Amino acid sequence: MLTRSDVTRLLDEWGQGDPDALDQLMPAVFDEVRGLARRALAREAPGHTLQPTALVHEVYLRLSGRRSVQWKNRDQFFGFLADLMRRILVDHARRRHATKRGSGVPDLPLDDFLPLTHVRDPDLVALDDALGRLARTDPRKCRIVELHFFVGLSQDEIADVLGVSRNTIVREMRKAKIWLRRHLDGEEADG
Amino acid sequence: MTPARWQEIDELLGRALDHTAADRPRFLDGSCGDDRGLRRELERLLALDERRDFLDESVFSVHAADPDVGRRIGPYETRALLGRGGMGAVYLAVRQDDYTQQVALKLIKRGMDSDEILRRFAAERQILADLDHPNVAHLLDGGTTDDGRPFLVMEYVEGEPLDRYCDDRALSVRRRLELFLDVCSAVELAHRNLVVHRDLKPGNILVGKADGIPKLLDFGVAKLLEPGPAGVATALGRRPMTLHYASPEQVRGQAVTTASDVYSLGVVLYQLLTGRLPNDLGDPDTAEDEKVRRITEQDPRRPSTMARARADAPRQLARRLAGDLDAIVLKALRKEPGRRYGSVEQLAEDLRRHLAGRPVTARAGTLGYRAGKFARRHRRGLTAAVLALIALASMVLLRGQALDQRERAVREHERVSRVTDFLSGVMDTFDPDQTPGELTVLAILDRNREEIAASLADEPRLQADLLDRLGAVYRKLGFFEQARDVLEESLSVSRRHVAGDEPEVALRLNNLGVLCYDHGDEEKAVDYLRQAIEMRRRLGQEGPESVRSLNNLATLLMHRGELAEAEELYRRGVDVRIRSYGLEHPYLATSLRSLGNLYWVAGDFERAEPLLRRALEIRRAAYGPGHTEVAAALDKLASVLDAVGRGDEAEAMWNEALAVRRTKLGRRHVLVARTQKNLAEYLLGQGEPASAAPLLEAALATFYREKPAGDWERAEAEGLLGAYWARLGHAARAGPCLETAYATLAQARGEQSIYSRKALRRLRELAGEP
Repeated sequence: MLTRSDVTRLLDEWGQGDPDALDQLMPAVFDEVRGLARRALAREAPGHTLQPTALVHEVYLRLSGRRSVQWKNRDQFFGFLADLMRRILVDHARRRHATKRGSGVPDLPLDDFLPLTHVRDPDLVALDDALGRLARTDPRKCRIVELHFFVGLSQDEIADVLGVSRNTIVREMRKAKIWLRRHLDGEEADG
Repeated sequence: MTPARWQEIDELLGRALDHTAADRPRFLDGSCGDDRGLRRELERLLALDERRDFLDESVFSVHAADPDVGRRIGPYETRALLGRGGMGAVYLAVRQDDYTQQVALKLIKRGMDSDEILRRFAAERQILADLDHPNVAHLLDGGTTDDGRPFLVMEYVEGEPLDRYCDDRALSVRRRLELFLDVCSAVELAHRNLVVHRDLKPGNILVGKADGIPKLLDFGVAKLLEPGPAGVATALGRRPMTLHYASPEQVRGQAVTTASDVYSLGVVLYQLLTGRLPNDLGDPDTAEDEKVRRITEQDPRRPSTMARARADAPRQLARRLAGDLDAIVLKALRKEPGRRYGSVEQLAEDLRRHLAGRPVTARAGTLGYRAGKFARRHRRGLTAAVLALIALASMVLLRGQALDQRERAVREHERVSRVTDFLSGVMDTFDPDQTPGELTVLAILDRNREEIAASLADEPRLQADLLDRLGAVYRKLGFFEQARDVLEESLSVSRRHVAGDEPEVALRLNNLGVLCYDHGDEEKAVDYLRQAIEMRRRLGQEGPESVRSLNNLATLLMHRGELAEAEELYRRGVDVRIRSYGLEHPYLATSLRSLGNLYWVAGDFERAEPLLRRALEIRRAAYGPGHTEVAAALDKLASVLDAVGRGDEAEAMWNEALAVRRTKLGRRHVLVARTQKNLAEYLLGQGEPASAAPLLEAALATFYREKPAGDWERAEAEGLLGAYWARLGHAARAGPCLETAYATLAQARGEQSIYSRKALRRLRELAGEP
């Protein structure tokens, strides 16, 4: 189990460019995010206020550069989790990508710099850009995709969190993926 | 795009999605009106709805904190999660005593170790142990963890799923089919071992990043067939994880046979060719029953229709798929197992037929289809035939000019009109009114032949000449019988009408000799080549003109084991070329290399080395370092150096040769495989089986693809595989490889050839004989 000082130390090392540090943190962060999401969905313990664990909290503050953060409702809380995961993964992917390029070695041995997910680095980076565009024209679609993709919520759960019908989510998600694919194909930008 | 426009499109898109695919065109007609831009945009967006990509799964679907990562399991240490299945997971692991060796380790989940699952795990292990194929990920090891869970260790393939590999590299249809055929050959082997895979899908077929070789993985739900009633091997169906690739009988839970794998391969092929899946199962939330209904009842669209409907597909794609590939894919995807291809082999054979331009069995064998096929296959040939005719005609005219002035004045008119008659006779062939039946290259050439026989009977020299050229065209197009006929006719015309010896006749004899050799008639070949050499001698042409025949005969004799005479002939070739061209000419290098090769075959390495070295030097100077001729010289010289114990030097040369051949010829060329085989053999001899394995594998993959079963070089590689297994102590695997190799080599190269003797020696070593 990572202690708070472990987290701080690893984040510092990571900030100084040591990719291993994040690799050590991530399994724990992933687990915490999953657990937080599950508990928030189950509304466990009446009156329980939404609180991230110290680990998640710290990582988020470091990544977002904010001093503190507060949530008024579940919607916001899930937004926070989605944002956290998106930042971690995309940031990691960008660095990995840059390291590979910069080192001039096309394929680093896997155990030097493990991927955090099965999603490929270039896909994550491109998705981040595409989500940025989608958020400008249709923030709700962007949020739906984030909750599904980065927090792993099912369509029912997303409907529950956003307080709309499941059918709406199904349809919006389908359209959102279409728009994203269109952007990912690298064709003319909107706006 | 303005926000208003975006709003409008988004709204229409949503309504279009609510319509079925069939109703959408009508919906779009109604809502887009004359706005073609809007319609195009919507069609493009709708096409994107069907794409399956990384957006469909969350980042958690594979990765989550896993207590089995970073654990010691036997002599291995797990490093990362590669994938997860119902009963276990696969990890990337390294050996603790050798961190450079990465493996894939499959481990049963805690609490999942029921009898049934343990049985299945043991079955997978047995199946993998029996499947020894370059396109199957090898089983390396297996064991039990401290807490009693069994694990398997397999070759780790650092690669990408087949479909993504193809799409990322925008591979051509032909390349995709070639990769797919590799996969078929692996599945064929499984079926021969009575194993059905039952879960074939791109995710289980990884293409190596480094070597581009596809490997079949995950026999986790594979099943040994049991002979059932009526001799049909079946296995009880089990609901697969991946519905998209599952056959109708599988989703119904009925008996599963090899035909089910044929179906899944059909789905994979469909996807590779169109970028889409054949069955539209709706979005992920469609009810299970509905999905099953669609798989069992709904007919897939033709691949070409699908390609046409895809707004983002290249325009030529639909045309490329229409016809053969539509028919092949749909035959593999028939709902009734009995109406599919009878075996994966048949499916693969039809694809190979398609690639070779031959008629495929999936299409009704109508005459029109076959004839059209023939013309298409020979489209290049057709052009070649026409070009050859024009060349013939101009040759005749030029010869007319070369005649002396007087004769020319007399005969020019006659000659020109003769050529004109000849050509117009041939051109009639292209006139459909004049030619009943199908227009084919063979018909055109046969017509040529008749024309030559009929209209040039009183001009024997010209007639013989044209027949000889025609023979070359036949030969180039692969019509050996006809080629031989006209060449022999040409020869007899010359003999009848031309008094005595002629350089042209000697050349004709040489060509006939080569043709007979190609065609497997060695006796005749030797006879013709000897006649050619003899005639050159009588003509006093023992210079460079004669070398080609000398070398041809020598090569033939060498392959028959008549080394002494072959040596004598090659030597004459070398002498002549030194006298004619001097010491630096590439022609001399060819003769030196031939002679050096002969000494190598004879086991006389001391003589071989300086000759091959000189050939290499000449070629390096003449062509520069990165030339395939240089690689050929390096490859042979390396073999000699290895034989005399200078392995270090040899290894460097093989590596250089390999690099050149790979760059110039592509990764999968037979000559690349030859060098890979040689280098692998060396490394194995050095006690480095791990370094030899990937080279040997790549070589075998190429030979299996490019060479027929009785081929000596393929047999050589198989023998080497046997040696590899013997070295690793797998006598049971080594034996069959070595036996096949010896039998084939003894047949192809004679029992006394060095290749056969080597295979025999390995067999004896394996049996523990001295």
